[in-house]
Amino acid sequence: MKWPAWVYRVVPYLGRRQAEEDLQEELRLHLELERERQRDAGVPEADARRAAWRRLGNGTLIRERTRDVWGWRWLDDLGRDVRHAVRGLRRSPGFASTVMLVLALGIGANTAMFGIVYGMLIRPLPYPDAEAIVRVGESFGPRRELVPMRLSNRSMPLLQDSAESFEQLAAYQELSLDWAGPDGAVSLSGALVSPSLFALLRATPHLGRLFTEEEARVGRDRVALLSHSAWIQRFGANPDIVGTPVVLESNPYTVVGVLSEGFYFPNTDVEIWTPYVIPPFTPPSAVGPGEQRMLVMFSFSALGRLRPGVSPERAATEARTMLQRNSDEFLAQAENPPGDSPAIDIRVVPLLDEMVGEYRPALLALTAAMALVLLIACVNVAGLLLARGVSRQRALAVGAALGAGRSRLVRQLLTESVVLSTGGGVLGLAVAIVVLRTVPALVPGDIARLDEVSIDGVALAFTAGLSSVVGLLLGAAPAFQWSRTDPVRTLNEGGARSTGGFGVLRSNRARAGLATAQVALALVLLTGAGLLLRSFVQLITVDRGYDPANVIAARARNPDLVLSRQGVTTESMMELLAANHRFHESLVGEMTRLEGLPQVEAVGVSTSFPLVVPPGGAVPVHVDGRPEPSDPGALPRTLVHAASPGYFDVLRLRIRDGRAFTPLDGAGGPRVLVVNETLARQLFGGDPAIGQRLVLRGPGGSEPWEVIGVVADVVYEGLTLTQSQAEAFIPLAQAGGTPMFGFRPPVITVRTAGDPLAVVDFLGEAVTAAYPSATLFDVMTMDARLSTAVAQPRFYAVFVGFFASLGVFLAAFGLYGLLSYTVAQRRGEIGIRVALGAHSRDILGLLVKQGMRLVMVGAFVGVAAAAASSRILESLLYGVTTDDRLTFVAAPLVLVAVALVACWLPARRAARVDPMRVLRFE
Amino acid sequence: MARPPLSDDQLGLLQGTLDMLILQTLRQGPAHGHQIAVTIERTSNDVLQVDHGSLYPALHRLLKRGWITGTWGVSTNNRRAKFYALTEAGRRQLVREATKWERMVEAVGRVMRPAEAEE
Repeated sequence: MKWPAWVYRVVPYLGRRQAEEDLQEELRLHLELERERQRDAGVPEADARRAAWRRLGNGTLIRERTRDVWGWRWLDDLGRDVRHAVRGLRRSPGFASTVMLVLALGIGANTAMFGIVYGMLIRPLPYPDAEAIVRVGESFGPRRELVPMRLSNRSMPLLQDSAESFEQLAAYQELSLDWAGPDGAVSLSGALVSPSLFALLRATPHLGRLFTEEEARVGRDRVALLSHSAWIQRFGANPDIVGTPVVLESNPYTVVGVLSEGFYFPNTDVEIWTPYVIPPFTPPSAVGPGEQRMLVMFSFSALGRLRPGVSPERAATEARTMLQRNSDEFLAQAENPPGDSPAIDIRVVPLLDEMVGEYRPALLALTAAMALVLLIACVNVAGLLLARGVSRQRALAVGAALGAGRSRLVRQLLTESVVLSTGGGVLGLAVAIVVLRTVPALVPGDIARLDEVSIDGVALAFTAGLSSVVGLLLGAAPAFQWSRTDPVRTLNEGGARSTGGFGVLRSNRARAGLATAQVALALVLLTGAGLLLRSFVQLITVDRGYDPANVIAARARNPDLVLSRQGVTTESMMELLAANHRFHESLVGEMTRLEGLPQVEAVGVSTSFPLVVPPGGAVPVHVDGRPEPSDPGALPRTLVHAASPGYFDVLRLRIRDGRAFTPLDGAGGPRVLVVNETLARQLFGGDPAIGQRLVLRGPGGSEPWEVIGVVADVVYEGLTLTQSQAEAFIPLAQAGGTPMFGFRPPVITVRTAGDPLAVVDFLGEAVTAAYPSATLFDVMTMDARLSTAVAQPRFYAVFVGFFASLGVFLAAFGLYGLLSYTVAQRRGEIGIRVALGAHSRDILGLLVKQGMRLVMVGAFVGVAAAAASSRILESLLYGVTTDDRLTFVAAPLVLVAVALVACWLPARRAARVDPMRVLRFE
Repeated sequence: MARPPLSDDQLGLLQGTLDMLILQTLRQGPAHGHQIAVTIERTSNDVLQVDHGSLYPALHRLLKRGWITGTWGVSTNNRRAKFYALTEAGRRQLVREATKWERMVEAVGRVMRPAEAEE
């Protein structure tokens, strides 16, 4: 193979073999010519040949010196060193495989972690100029932190028309679509999208075309785009797919195109897109029941592409200013909660952040844990290398005596450790691949981008880099140790054992230091795992205010209760509200029938339910009879639930005062409500709440509601009660006609005596009986919901716990190795001590004490380090502080107990030393 | 000893002068290794004895610096040989080395024959 000359200069190795052959031939020719010259000068044939050889000199030397010119000497040396190292390691396979295995665990765990961190947090999204793509969301009212990133049909056109920060804006909404395929109905994962979405994402069609702006209008929107994989899997890669009719949700659509391969949005599952028709916004002039103005807004997820050079912050500021300027009096009132300055909060967040930002703290903590694992592995291996180094000092001293340069010997030591770490790296890669294959399946929940994580070139480079760094660092330990020893002394001492004092610390200071470091590092890891475990236990045992056992919850969807996308009038709203109320009423009626079943203890119907649906927005509340504050924004606010009487029994809410609803609290009866303790305290302090009358500024006009009961607080959202929230319950029967609950599917719940899943069929029947086309969905027991809710904390606890045990094991292994070594080294002394009358108990105690002294130092340092670093876990902990006392006591105890065993085993061996045999041997 | 001893009127080469002599020899045209050695010896009337063992490392050093090029060709008596030729950079280098050499010779000469001036 011939390369341009410069290649040889840059990569000399390429032409190496050729160059060697060339040189060989040159020298041969030279010899021949010289021989001829000598012969021509009259030298006899035999002498001529010898003379030629003599003039040329040592051929090997010439080749070597020429090679030096080529600059390949380092390569030869390296090759020799590597061969030498491999040979040496082959001679001690136990040592080599242990080291490589330990390193493989450390490197593998970190490679996998790097793959995940890189794949999720760093790797750009697969859209051109993806960093300019943002999610845009707005929120109203005081509960803005609970409102997901949604944009309304009021704000979107305003921003589209005049916000200069955005090049494009697009709405989208994920949904599943029933497709009448050739093999029957199939549920496709789909999304409604603004036509501008594809331009925003710079997507191109593989076949056909994308949506046009006109197709975002009612009547023109029966068109669909397919994902490349759906085209292949669902439509057999039909090349004539464009123009084909498909039936979606019983409506005829036409396929207008197929997206290019690999394109996805908003997630990889989506198979089909149809245009999103944004309903026109109805200004809040419509007058509803009780002379209330109704504000009907549609909200959806929204994507924006920022103009070049515009930061998300600047875009948010511009949008906020614009929307506030345009908000009219009503909105201003609704949006201006007490004490909060911005009427509307707009958030503009880079898409990648929105997708994976929430996992960043967890990933950071896990990365730190993995780094600790690697550190422990390295320290452990460094200890092993030191032990090996000691036994090899003689060999090295001989090398030095024979004239090997000190740097050459150090390089050889480094080569050995790099060879080991490379082996560890290769094995680690295998570990990482296994981890990445299995972990995403183990991780609960739907984590964005986790399924895309793989070992790619970047991860490979990371592993290679990590392995080399680890190798060089590890080699530094024995190299340093060696460079401080005197070869002459080593050789003079011969095989005799060094004669230091009887002490682990004194004779093996470096190894003792490493063992101590391992104990400290393992303790940091163990403390972290302990905190996560405590937090998890806290989560599953915490009192949430209700009893989840034997409760099943499901939701009932009524397909006829939808707001028209073509605009909303007061009349159509009123009609829908009334229909919604009727649906609720008949549901309650049908559900109540179930109470006759023997296994049913209670049934409930409600607009919200813990772990199923959070309550809607908060409304201002006012105590009837008290003077109204001049500023309506100063009123306290409460969340409002509408619930059937059985609701309280299903959840077993604790009634603190008064009573819950009864079937008698019906539509015609006096308006009653139950408040939770927080609201009672906020409104009445310590005074009795029962009998007081409250005006809710929202549902059902200004007529007051009488407080008939007080219940204990319940955790509705999140995993634990972080902040007590004011809540009020009104009877579902009396909530008729109030638009504040929207048209969200109601929650139906049953408390059973036995397995709650046994009543699922009855639930389905009840729903169908209440409304023929209504369907049941989201059916799950509360136990299952709870288990899902705590799945991620459980995963963190198990994951970190696993690696912490590994760390503790390695630390124990390190200690064990060190003490075993000391015992072996000190056999003679132990024998003398026993011969002089020391009891085996004394020997045992002495050694254990030596070991435990190291452990104590390590534990002390470890506790301090854990205390300093545990804050990294803060965002993963529930109900446990990062300085949790129990954890900080238990973790060191566990570690010390394990360490005690690790010290005791070799010490016991020492105590059994037979003095006669040892002394004779000596 | 690998090399034949030098007789009184033969000179070993000073360190570093071999490179210069090679370049100078190649000024007359491309040549292979043996030719270069023979030419140097012959031109100096056999006074300068090239250490054949040093010749090849020197040639490769010059190759690496880009002062000469090496191409395989056929020698006068039909044998495959690697012919070295001077490059433009090599020509410039030769001028530099020759200048340096002359100044050195002159300087050494002044030191060695101070009496001449006095006579």
